[in-house]
Amino acid sequence: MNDINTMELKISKFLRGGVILSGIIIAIGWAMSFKGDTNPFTPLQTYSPLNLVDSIQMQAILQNWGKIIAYLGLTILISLPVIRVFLSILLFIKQKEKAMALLGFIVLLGLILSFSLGIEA
Amino acid sequence: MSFVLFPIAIVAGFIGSILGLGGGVIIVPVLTLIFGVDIRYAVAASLISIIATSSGAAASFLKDHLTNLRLAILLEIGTVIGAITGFLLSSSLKSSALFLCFGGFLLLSAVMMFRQKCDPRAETNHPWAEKLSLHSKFPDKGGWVHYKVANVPFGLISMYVAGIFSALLGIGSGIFKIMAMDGAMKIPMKVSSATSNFMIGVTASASAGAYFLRGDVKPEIASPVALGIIVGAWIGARVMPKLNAALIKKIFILVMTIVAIQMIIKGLEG
Repeated sequence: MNDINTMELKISKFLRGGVILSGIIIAIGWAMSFKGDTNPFTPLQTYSPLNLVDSIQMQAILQNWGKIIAYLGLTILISLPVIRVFLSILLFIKQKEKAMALLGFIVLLGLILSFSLGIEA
Repeated sequence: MSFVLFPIAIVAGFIGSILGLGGGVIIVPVLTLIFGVDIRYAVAASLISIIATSSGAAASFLKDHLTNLRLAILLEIGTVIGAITGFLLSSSLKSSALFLCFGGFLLLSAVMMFRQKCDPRAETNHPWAEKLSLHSKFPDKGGWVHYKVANVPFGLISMYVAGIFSALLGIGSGIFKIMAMDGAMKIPMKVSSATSNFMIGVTASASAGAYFLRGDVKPEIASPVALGIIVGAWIGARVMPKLNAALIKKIFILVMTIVAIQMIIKGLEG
């Protein structure tokens, strides 16, 4: 069990690195898309659904590269817990902890299902 | 103008870190009540910041030997299924219903924070806890403290409810998780708190990923909120030992109650 904790600690340190990396990318994107003279909250006061792919395409047409970079940073950030669960499963398999690996696999399936609901919505 | 959000998010992250809450309970009301942002965008932005703080702090929680990793993985099943349910519910609920839910949740959280003091211990493991070896130990002043895990099914159901609230309201539901682990599963408060913080990132990721792909995560608010909360939580963790946390907690309970009433009024106005 101590081995598992040591390995999980390594995974968590990797995640902390991921948070720093995504934070830097988000900060660059935010700085690039920064417009001091406009109110960014006005278009967000009414909910108007536009999925991620369409949103990115629209930003590409508008040549708003800052927002596209920010989307990249956000993608990395959202992926981090999924990577953490995936690596934990590998770790439990390596330790021959079948029951724990199975539980981790159920969590991973849940995450995939949740993401796929976002695509379909 | 979104630069205004950055210092507000720093304050949210700072207070959240001192009180053991995510910044969501602060940032969602700020975005909706002050800046008039639709609650769906506010919820999505808040979930992003929760992932950042939880993932960033995971290493510290594990290093302190307070996180029960095996228990976290089991309970994440409940929170992730709850998050899926919450995401599905969010599509059918009106903004006014979300405001009412948020207001109600804040009031409940204020009451729980006021009462939070128990530290019970389980005498025996629940059969599931025994089979999965969920019992563990943590370091305390007098050496290692061993503990057992009770009432696992109730814990799982509670985590499911916590997952629904997290996805619907953009919060970590930490106070709910801690209450279930500490009160029902009889796990020591320090372990409950660390394990809850560890799990929050996975719970938030489940619904944040869905909201992100649906296009509800807007970089113009999610970026300053995420960055500000990371900075605020970092500062909070460092200055926490020097602060009068009890006084801050009392002030925050009062503020939370006022904000809850405002959210409920906004919900009733439709």
